Amino acid sequence: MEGSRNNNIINHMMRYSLDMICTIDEAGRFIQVSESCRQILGYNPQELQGHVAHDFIPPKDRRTILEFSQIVSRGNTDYSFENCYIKKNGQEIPLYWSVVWSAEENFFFCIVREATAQKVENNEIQKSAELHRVLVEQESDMLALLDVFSNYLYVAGASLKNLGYHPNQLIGVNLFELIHPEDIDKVQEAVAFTRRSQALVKLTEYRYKTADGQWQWQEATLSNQLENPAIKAIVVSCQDITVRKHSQLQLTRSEQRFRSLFANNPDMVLYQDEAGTIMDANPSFIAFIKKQKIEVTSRLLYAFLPEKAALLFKEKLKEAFNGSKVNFEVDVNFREQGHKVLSVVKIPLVVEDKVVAVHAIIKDITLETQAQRIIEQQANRLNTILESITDAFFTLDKNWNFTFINHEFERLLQMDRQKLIGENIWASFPTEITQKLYNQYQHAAQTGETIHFDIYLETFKSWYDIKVYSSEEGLSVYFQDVTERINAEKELERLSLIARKTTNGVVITDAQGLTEWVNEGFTNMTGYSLAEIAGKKPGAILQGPDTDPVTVERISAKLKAGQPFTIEILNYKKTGEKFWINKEITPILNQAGDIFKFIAVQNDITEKKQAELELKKLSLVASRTSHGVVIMDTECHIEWVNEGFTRMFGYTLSEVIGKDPKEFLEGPNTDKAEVQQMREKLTEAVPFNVILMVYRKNGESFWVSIDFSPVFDKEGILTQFIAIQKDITLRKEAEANLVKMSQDLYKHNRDLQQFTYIISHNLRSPVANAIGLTRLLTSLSKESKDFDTSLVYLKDTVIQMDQVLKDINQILSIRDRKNVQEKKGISLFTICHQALIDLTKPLRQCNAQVQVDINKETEVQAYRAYLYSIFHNLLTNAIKYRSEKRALQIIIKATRVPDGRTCITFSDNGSGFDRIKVGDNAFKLYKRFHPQIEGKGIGLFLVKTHVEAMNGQIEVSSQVDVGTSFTIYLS
Amino acid sequence: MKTYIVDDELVSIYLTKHLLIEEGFSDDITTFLSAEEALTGLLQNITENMPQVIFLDLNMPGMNGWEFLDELTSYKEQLPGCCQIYILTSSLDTSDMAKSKKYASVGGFIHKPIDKADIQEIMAHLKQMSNKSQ
Repeated sequence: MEGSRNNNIINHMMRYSLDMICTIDEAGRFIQVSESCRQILGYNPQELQGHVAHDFIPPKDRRTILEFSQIVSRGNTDYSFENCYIKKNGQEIPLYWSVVWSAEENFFFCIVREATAQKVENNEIQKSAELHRVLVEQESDMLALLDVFSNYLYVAGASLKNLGYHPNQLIGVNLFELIHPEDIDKVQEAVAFTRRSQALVKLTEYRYKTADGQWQWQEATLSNQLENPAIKAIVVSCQDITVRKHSQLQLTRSEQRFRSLFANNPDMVLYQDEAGTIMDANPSFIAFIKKQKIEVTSRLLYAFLPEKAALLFKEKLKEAFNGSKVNFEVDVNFREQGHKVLSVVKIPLVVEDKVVAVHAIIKDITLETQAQRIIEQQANRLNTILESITDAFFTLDKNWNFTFINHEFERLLQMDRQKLIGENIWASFPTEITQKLYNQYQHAAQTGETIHFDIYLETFKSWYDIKVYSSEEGLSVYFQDVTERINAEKELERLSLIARKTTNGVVITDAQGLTEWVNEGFTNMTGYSLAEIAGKKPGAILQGPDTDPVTVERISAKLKAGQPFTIEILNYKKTGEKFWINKEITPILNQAGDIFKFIAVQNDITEKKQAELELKKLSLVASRTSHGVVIMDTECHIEWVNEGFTRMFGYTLSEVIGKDPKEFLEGPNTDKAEVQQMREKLTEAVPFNVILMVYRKNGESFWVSIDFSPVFDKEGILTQFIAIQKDITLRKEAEANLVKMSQDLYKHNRDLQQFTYIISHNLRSPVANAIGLTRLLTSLSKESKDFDTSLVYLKDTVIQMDQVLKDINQILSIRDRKNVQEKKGISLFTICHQALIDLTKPLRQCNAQVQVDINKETEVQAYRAYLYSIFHNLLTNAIKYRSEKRALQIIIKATRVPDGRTCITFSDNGSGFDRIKVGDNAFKLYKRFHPQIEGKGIGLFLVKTHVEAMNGQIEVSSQVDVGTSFTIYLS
Repeated sequence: MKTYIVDDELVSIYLTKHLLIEEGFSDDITTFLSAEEALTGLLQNITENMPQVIFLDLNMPGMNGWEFLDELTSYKEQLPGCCQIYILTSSLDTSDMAKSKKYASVGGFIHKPIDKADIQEIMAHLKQMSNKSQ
């Protein structure tokens, strides 16, 4: 009982105490708060309970509380302090706290009262303390006191200003004058009720007139304080709830809107709780799901989704419940609806910092998606098409800005198209380009014509082929880098100029070899014009009977092989004239690598060919000939010798190359004068011949006839000598023999002539005499002396004739015998001695002394008879022509001479003869030099003949009245 | 007329002389066995007693007939001239005949043996010559 009584007291205290009594837990939270908190703080207890006390303290004061809590908890049982609290209306109010810690109950027991300072102020408003109490109980912007008639007795408040009223303005004014007509009833009722009761009457939502005639939404709290002595009025505290009203309205409106949206949203909208249950769904959803609303609400969304989609939704829901707005698209295959694409937005609905539900908006974007996809596809296709344009392509709008640029553009110009899109074309390129292109583009844009031109841009150092098309949107421009093409064209021009003008013949044929084009040079060379040869194979026209078929075959083969090649071939001009050409044929491949043309360049090499053929022939001759062929340079250094030379001289080419022939071909017997002459002739550079004795490598000498030919080049300058050597040893010998023979013959002939002459005379003479004598005899008488004389003469004459005939016979027989008999080795000494013995008597008669100085072994190749005859004749002559003044002395000697012959000298001291006067007649037939002395004049002739018949030689020297000496050479 | 005979053969001299006498050609005949002797004789009688006729053989040892003629030519101015030389040779050589024509003093060319006809011809020739000179 006491306990409950105490509780009552406490409760009473709690309710009515002017001071705030509260309990705070150790964490600082209000456990219980008395009613007076309304007055003091403006909050009601519920608003404070459970909340941390700190929250109401301005930050600057929070520290003291902390200290306080610490101090108290440390054991101090009671404590008091001052701090400020923030009232509900924001005012700061100083408070005086008395705190007691109750350890057993684990809370602070506090009594709070307004601080003294404030209290003073409060006391000033003592008059309206009650008023304030009332005021504090309900927040207000304006406070009014009304009398029984509802006229204003007193007005105060912050919002007065807002309303536009001065406080005094309203005094005496009836309340209802300021209330909106529509709300008067409500207000009246409230006022009436207030008068009747003691409680606080709440008047909600009425419009109050402002000073300028506008209406302000207010709510009020009326309190009947007529009975309160301090007040004696109806207290009306009102609040401007415009904002609230607006928000309410707005809220209502937005609710309505929301509702309307929700209901009318073509998209599906639903609310889910954390579990995923559908709390509400809009008609669209229901229609979509094809269910009734009842079937849907309170069911899990996932029930209507296929498993895979459901999982995704669940996931996203969780995300949304974490507070984030979730946005996703999903493809769902519904059983009934089919394949749908849904765009889902899950928005967490946050109320007071807590996600209470998730608002899901689901859009069936199937069609859109499809359309989107189609558009994408088409766009892609378009893009692909645009990109696949091998030309660089861009479009400009009417303002010259780039609207599209393809990849090729980027590649060609090395510019980033992303940067250029939207940029003005003229701003994006240097002046040079602008200048050149502006007019063209402008023209296209204005006239709408399609423009096509080539242009060289220095900036890019390239040629471009540009096509400009005008369209509604602006310009479409295609361009290509044709630098290569232009260059190729220029090359082609140049080449065709060359091809046309060159003196070489140029033929272009197709892959089959049919002529497509020929140049002037070709026509000049062959006589055929392009018209005559076009479409035909050059070979068919130009080749003829003498063209080597092997060469033709080779050309065919090489053309098929498709390789470039060079060949020489004999062709015929249109006139039928033959000429040699050197043809260079090059196949031309197209881009695929197949041959599609042949180009043939040909030059006339007739001269060269002829020279070659000549050379071949000559070299053939030179190599094969048995004659020696030497080619020397202008300095007479050997460049080349043939085999014949090697055979002839014994020197190989390597041994003699570079040397002058005189170093090794001339020798002791070589005629120096001839050599000198040869050298001179060489300097004259004319063809000539020389015959020389030359020497082989082995030292053998032989005769050679050399023909020199100078060689000149085209300008007539001496380049080489060609010397051809012929071995003429045999010829020379033959010649020499011939010469000798003819000399012999001549001599022989001459001898013969002489012989004939002499014989005829010596024979004639006696014959003539004989004739004369016989004639005389016939005229003489036999008795006359003359007759006898004549007869004697006749006899002598005839004998003389006979002798001559004998001589002839003897002489002739010597000559003949020469060819028949063989010589033998005869001992000189023996023969000589025999002759001496045979002439003993005549020798003794003239007291001759003979000295013989002959080696007994000495032998000569001779005819015994001749040798004997020689000795005999010479001895006889020596005896006959001895000197009268002295005794005859004869010396006969025989010696060996170096060349192998035997020399026999026969000298006497006889009368001699005038050698000079006699001259050649010494050994001539019937020549006599001593008329007085008996002799026919054939002795020496015979000696000579004999000697010569044995291939010997005889010479004579003599001096008148001294003696004569004969020298005979025998082998 | 004074006549010389120059010949190396006695037989030939004998024959020639005999015939000359027989034909009454000359009674003043001098014979020489060699051309050298004849030349000596000529030169001795150079101013007076020049022979009018000389019969000259060609083939003689030592100085032959041609050499004699050559010698004679060199003395031409000294010799008063009008000395006719007749070559008397056994040679049949035509070249001798041709050669003889080169000498102005050679009046004729006679083949041995000399005969009457030859002598008469000479005489006629001589007469002609003397008529001319007179």
